[in-house]
Amino acid sequence: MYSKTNWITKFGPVTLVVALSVSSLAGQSRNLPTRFSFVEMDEARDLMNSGKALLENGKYTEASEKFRQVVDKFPRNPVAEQSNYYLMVSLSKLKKNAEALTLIDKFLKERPKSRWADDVRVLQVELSKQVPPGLLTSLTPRPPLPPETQTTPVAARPLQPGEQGTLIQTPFGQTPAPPAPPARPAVAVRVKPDDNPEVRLQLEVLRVLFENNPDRALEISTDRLRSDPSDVVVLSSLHMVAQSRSDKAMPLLVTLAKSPDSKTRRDAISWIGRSRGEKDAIADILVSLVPNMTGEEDSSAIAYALAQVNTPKAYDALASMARDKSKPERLRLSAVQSIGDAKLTNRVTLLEDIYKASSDNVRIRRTVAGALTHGKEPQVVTALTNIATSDPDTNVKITAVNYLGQIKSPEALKALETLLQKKP
Amino acid sequence: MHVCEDFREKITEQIIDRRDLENDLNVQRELLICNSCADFYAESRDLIEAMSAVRFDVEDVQWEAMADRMRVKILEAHAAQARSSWLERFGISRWTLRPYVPALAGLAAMLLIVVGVSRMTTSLINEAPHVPAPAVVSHTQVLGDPNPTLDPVTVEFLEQSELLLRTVMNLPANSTDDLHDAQKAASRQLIGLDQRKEAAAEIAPAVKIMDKYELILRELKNIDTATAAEDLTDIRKRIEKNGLIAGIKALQPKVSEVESEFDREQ
Repeated sequence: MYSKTNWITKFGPVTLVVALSVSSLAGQSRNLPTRFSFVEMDEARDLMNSGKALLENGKYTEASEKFRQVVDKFPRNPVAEQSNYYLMVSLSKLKKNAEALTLIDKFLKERPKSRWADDVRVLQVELSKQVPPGLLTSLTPRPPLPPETQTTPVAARPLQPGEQGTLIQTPFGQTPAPPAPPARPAVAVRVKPDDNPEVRLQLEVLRVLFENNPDRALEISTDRLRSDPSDVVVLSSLHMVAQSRSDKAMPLLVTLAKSPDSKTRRDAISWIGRSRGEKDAIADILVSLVPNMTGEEDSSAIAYALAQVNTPKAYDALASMARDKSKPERLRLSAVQSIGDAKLTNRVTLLEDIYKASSDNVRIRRTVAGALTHGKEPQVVTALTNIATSDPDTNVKITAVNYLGQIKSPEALKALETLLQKKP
Repeated sequence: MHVCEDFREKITEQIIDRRDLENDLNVQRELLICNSCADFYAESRDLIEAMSAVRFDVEDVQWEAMADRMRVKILEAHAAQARSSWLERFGISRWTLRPYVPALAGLAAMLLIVVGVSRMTTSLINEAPHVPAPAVVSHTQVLGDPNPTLDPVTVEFLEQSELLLRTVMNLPANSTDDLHDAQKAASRQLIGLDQRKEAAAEIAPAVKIMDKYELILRELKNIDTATAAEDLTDIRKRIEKNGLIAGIKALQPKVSEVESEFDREQ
């Protein structure tokens, strides 16, 4: 009565419809691993991961297609928001800013509380180069508002004889104005580094401001640092300060280079070295900062910054620091390293002078031996041979021999042979 | 068994030391096994090549200029020595002349007055032009831009980045506290990252690695506890695949063997 063909005809289409609808919904939610699942599948996540791999390899068009697929096909999957963000990033890399901004607006309207909303807002400022209203005011430090006082109706009364003050109008007539509350000292608007969304947004706002109005940006930065010398927004924008063409930039960096905080000091010094402006004047500023260097680690920053200035004056200053026995050893060592790495006509001569002036310091003489090998001038072999032959310290001699061995040129090998022939 | 992270750390050291890995059978075998390690090897080698592709050659013209300056310096030194020793040549030492210094100074002053007065009475037309005192001349000449190097603060940042990545790789599966700490650290790193990228702008491989690191930081920061396990697995895979730990380590300055031996002896 009931043939197999009839059964298939009746239930087949129904089964097919159910199967198709289930498969299309499969990626919308995350497939939690079960005891019986051998392979955990999450199509949306797989698509997103392949998009990220493409993005990391600079294949932005292909990456954007993958992210778009996740956003369009699996809008309710937990990775949809992340994919949406990466789609915007891919579009911005492809210079499709208008499309990216449209997506940003849509995202912020639809998902204002998403974990990715803050990153999307930062991207919005970055792409639009516009500071949303209200954000600029959040950059400037303000004292907190005084607590709201209870307002009670006051009866009118005239000023008493000898009483000072002004009369104000009340619904009941004129009465003396209450004394003004004592002025509150400005309290720093301290943004903790962990308050990431706010900090990152403010950083981006400050960056846009530096691009459009560097003087105003520097004014705000200075005010913020006055309120809070460890202001993370400004201290993370020193590159913008250094690159701005404002006259106020250098004084701010110099002030920061004298900060009690070591990292701030070193960062400011490095950015002074890379600032715009007359190079020799920058070298002078850096040299003048040496007496303020209290920490050992400051030395490498000073030497680095002077090397970045890259003028004869800067290198002469480094050489004189390296020769100066009254200077801290760390500074002298850093100066030797910087001269060793430099491209100078008299690099070897400068290093030899430092070597001769360091009869008291084994470590500096040994560092000079190492620094000599950073160049390939023919005199390097002679200089190292001299050290290997005549240095009073055996360790320095061994170091020089070691470096001679690393040169591997015929001259160096010949020098080593000659050294071997010498009787101890 | 091939473990990407261990293998990459091992070859990073060897690439930095510029050892010949092309003929190292063990390394080549491992590279054949793992495509991503092979990519990492190629990228790291390019990075080191880029860092070391620095021209130290000095052109012939510059050598000649240096030789000229050296000759001038020798002649000047010779002349100065000759000037200082002419008194000794006559057997007169500086100490024997010392009691007569005031008298000699007076004589010189009187001579100057006589010459001055006589010059005033004669024509002023023949007055010798004023010759400014020679300034101190630097013999230093810069041959090109300095070698691109990372500033000390960026190096420190990279050290912290390496630590954070190692922490993420070893995060316990169910510790929300540890995850929260890692997220806080990621937030802090993210804040400073733009400045560090700008500081390393001249070193393209460093910027490339920091770009990849930024994506990891952003994802780590936004991990939702509901999907933490899967998210962390993905993040770890990408850290490994991109060889981020070894890449960041390669950017940090390395103490040479000679230096470390010396420090041990000290």
